Amino acid sequence: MNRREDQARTHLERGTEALKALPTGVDAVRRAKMLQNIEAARASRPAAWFRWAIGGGVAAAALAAGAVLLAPEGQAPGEHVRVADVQPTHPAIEFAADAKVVSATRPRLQTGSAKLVMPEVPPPTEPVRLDTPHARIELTMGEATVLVVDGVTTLEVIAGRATWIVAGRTAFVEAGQRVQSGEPAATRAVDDAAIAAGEPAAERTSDDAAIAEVDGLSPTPARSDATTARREGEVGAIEAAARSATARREATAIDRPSGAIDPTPGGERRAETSVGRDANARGAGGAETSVGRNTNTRDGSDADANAHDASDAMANGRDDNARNDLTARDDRRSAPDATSDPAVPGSSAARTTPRAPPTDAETRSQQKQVEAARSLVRRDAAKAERMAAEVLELRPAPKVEAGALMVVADARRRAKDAAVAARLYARVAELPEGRELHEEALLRRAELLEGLGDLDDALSALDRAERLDAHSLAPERAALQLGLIQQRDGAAAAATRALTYSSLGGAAMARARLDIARAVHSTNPVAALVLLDAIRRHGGSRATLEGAEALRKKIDDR
Amino acid sequence: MGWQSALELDEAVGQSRTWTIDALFRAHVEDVARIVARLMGPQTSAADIDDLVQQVFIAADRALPKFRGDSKITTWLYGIASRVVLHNLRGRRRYKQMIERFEASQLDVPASTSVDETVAARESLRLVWGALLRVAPKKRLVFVLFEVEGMTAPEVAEVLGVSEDTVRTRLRRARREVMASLERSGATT
Repeated sequence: MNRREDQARTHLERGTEALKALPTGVDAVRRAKMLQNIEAARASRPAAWFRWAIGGGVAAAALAAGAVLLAPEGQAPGEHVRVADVQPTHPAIEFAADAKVVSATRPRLQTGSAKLVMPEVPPPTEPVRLDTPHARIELTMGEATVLVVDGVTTLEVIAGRATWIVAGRTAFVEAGQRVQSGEPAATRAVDDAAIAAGEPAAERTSDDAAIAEVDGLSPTPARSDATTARREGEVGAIEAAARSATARREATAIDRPSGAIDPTPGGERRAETSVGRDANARGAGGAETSVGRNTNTRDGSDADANAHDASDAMANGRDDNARNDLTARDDRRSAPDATSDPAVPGSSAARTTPRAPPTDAETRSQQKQVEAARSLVRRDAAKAERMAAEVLELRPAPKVEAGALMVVADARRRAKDAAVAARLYARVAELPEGRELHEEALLRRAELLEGLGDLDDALSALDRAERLDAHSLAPERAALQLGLIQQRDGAAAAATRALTYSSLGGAAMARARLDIARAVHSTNPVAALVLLDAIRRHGGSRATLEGAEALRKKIDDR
Repeated sequence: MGWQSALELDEAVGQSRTWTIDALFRAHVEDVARIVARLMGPQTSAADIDDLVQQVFIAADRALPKFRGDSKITTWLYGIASRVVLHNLRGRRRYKQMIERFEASQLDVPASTSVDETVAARESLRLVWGALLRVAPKKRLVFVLFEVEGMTAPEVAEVLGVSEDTVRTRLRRARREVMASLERSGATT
């Protein structure tokens, strides 16, 4: 069996085990909802002839008459079509009373996807209003796709004008063109008119920081009205659409600001890409400089060194946005931009040269290279870093960029270059397209910051990770957090926090609990015993379990 | 409840039992949800799984009067679940959506003993399911039922309503394709 096959088998076994271990339980609430829907479907089951009697023809006629058709995605036209003046597909979706809607739906559906097809975009004076607990809308010209997903509480669409109030996800729509959708962590209200006037106003229910960031941005010329804000760990984009598509096109043609929206086909991706890039470039741009330099030295022995330079520079490029600045600890950060000569790839002048977005084929190829680098990073970190840097220099799609940065960060971590790696992880955690990597990146960053003695920033990173919708590494995060709290605030504070993590298991948590229990057993034996109980309940390594039992005996004896 | 224990329960209850959809739902929703979740993959949201589970039971409700007890009720339900999932996977657009969701999804895996192990498990899951997504749905179904659900070939054949030979052939091909895909993914290293 060759090495590649061996690796594949290992992945197959581990992956199959992971598939088996995926949680598949259905809680009582979901059960009740499903049963309710099933009952509803039974009650409203149409007669067999229904689907043949009414269908695509009715839908077409309704569209021709100026109604709005709302149909679940993937449903064949004509299947269970109902016609009504006001008829939401979902109990929680309510249309304004004057909206004419043809609903083509299976009544049983509580969640799923739906397509909103409009013969024309309603003028701003006649808004189509959707209130749904779980919705995302992507609007294309004359046609909107309503994806019913988790995480949205309120959504208001005023087609033709972009005024959205969305919790959990945002989407930005302008004159029937799909522009961008994202997933901020908190509710935002974007006041279109205020942004148009050059003074963006944003309200957040959970974090006022965004307001400052929005305010801090330079609004684009009045014709554009587009503003982008980025915030650590979120898509963080607040974009308001232009008052008209014409204005948008002019604005983007004349001046493409960060996050400006290109209404032409494919413009969305370019816009999103530029959002990410611009935010990164704002730091210093050294990343691109170094990466660009690396292009020319691919065959030389300097490649490795340049890859490292690239890592430093990439990390430095984030400085403006990273809250946890490590300036004092890393001399490299002060390295100036290499050159302003446009002839030098990656120079500040050269960076202004527009670059075509990668094609799908290029993206796939880059993705493969990043995956290869990722699987190599444990064995040969330097080579993995070079491979990832090669991808980064090609200005890959944002998702690929996030993966490549993660590889570089891992490589730097393995090379014991903690400060640079920590900053790179911070960058990864800020790339919205790398959501799946955020938790790990923040945990790694916190680990590194702990090693650097920066306990506050390490705890900040963990706090951010805790707010993510990802919990794969929750026990490790909690264990590290407890250790940090113990170091910073003392064992009593750590014990208090540890008691709130009663449901977390795993070896790391067991070790953390034992450490804290040992520290507080003389001052707070009750807390120590609770922690020891948790170890016994959740399990741990043999050494930890033995240590826990010994400590329990000691407390009992006393 | 695993599918084996569900089968045992079937036998204990007896095939002559007259099922109502409510009783069927209460007894087997967990099993159906598990099968659907595994067949659809880790990128599938709970809401999507619930929707499919509903579809399974609605279809079962319609078909229940025709159920004569020739097979175990769970086998019959799993058959419906497999067909609902297969139906849901039809179409290039849906496939594309599935791929997009998979690429955008965060694959949560149960916590392991260390960060490295958890990360490695997630990486393997990503690679294996990524490889499985490239396998034709019918073969993928067989693979998941056999390898993940732990059914035997005759049981898979009964669930899917195909011959054992077909199951074995699909399984063999699915394994080969997954392995080839996994090897390719590590080829450049």
